[in-house]
Amino acid sequence: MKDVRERLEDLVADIPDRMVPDIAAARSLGDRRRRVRRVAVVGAAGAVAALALVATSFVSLPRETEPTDNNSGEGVGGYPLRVEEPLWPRSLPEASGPLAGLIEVGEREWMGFTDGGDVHRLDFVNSRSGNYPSLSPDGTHVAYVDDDYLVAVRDLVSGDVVRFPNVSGGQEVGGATLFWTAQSPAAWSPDGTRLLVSGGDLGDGPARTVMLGTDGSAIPVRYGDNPAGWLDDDRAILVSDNGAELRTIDREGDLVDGVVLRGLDRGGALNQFSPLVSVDGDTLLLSRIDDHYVAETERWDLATGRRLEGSATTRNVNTWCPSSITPSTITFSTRPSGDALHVEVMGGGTLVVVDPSLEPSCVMLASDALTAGPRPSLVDRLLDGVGLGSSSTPDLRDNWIAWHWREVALSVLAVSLWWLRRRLRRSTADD
Amino acid sequence: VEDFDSWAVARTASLARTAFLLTADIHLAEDLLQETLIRVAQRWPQLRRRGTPDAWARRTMHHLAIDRWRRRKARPEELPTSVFPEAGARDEAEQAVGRIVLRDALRQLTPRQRAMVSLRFYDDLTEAQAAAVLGCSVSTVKSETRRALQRLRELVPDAVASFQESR
Repeated sequence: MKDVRERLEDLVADIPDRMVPDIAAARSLGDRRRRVRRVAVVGAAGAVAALALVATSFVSLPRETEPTDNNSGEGVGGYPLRVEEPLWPRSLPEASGPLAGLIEVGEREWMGFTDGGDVHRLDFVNSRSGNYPSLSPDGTHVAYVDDDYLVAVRDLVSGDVVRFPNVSGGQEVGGATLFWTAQSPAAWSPDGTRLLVSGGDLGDGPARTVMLGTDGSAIPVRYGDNPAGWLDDDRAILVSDNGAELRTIDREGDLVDGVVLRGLDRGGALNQFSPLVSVDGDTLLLSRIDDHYVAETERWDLATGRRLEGSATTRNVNTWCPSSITPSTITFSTRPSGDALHVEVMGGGTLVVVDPSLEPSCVMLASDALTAGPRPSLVDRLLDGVGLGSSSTPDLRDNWIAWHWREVALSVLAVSLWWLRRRLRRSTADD
Repeated sequence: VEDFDSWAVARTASLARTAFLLTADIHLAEDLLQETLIRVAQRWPQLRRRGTPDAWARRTMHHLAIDRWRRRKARPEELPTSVFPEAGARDEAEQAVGRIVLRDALRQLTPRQRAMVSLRFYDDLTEAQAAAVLGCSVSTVKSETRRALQRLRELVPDAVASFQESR
């Protein structure tokens, strides 16, 4: 009996004589498959590179049409967790749609950002005037001083601009009789049709505040010194210079009511942009900032003038920045560490982080954006996924890699392409 | 360093025998051999640099044989005929019958079992080497080989009575 090997050898003994493969055809077809494979690999790498660039551009480039998902003109739908410097900054389109916030960058340049985090230059704002532009609660209107040093309000949804020929940014220009004081607060009515600004008569008139309407009206107001905010669509709060007396005015600028704050400590300097009325119209918030950039914020009941218990401490505050208002609190522009600018709610807690590459100094958010809450982008979710996002502890949104992921991705891609090309050359040389 | 053509000429006979053992069909073996040579030619620059074209070709041939069987599972089974035109006319009758019986028995094994028989009893690989070629564990090689031999004993008891499991 033969063993297995012998029987198998016997079975295949004459196989080579009966099988004559086409070696030349095998070589030719193998070579062709190799070339096709290389082209496919390089093509796929190129496609990935193109996709990465398109995706990056899509994330960073301002869109020419509605920059937010909310294209019905109803207002902004939230705020971004991170505001990143765009690769190719562009001007805000005329009918851009609502903005979530404004940033002061560099030397008094202003930019706006959408709830999706797209950043636009606000070229229509006169950066030399020193007046801070102001965003309406729903983010659909922005008040500013234009290149003629006149105050204007732009409808960001329609692109229409209402100019106020009799209100300047503080300069004596044209027929201006009223002015809006530089670096001073502005308070929008909840319905976004009225705007109170510090200022008054250009001459020696009695007006200390001006009420602007989006219909082009400008009413000088003689009561109070600092516009603090609005109780509702029809009543605004003005605060006396010493912060002790509140006055309520109506939409025509006429005095309606007055309240004295009880238990007010007259010592210490009020924040330049304090006081502020909370969005719900119930509370007045007064902030004092000491020499160590620590803001101490106290709350007062607007109905009774009584001080409410407790106070909130916020550190590393940029003192020259307006605050933004949420339903019951206010936010500050802070710089807790490094060069990134944070928007912190009073008492601490970062809402937004701004790319240090923008050289930001102040951030102001529309109150409706703050009320609606954060809108994490795809990048935010990816950062969260790798432990660098807002839900991580500690929050590493301003980590170096978080601001330079595009450069890192492009570098990895470039190295991959270089490696593929080197390999292709080597294979070709071998052939 | 030899080129692909020289390598193919030198290895064709060995690869042809293995292909036949893996398919138990001369036409399928031809296809399998040709596809294996094409795959080797496709990767020839890398294989030549690494100096492992023989091992890679053998592994690829086994994988292709198994893949082909997987692809054909949904198709109708091939029906073995009673006529074997590929049988050599010069064989003596007894030898011819013995070959036909063995080949028929091999056909009734799974491709993986045929690969085990080929690697273990024709190429004389150890269990570990066979496992490396097929990309499976040594225990799988052992169990599949045992099943293959058991099946062969059932199909051709007289011809494979001396088949030994342990080597």
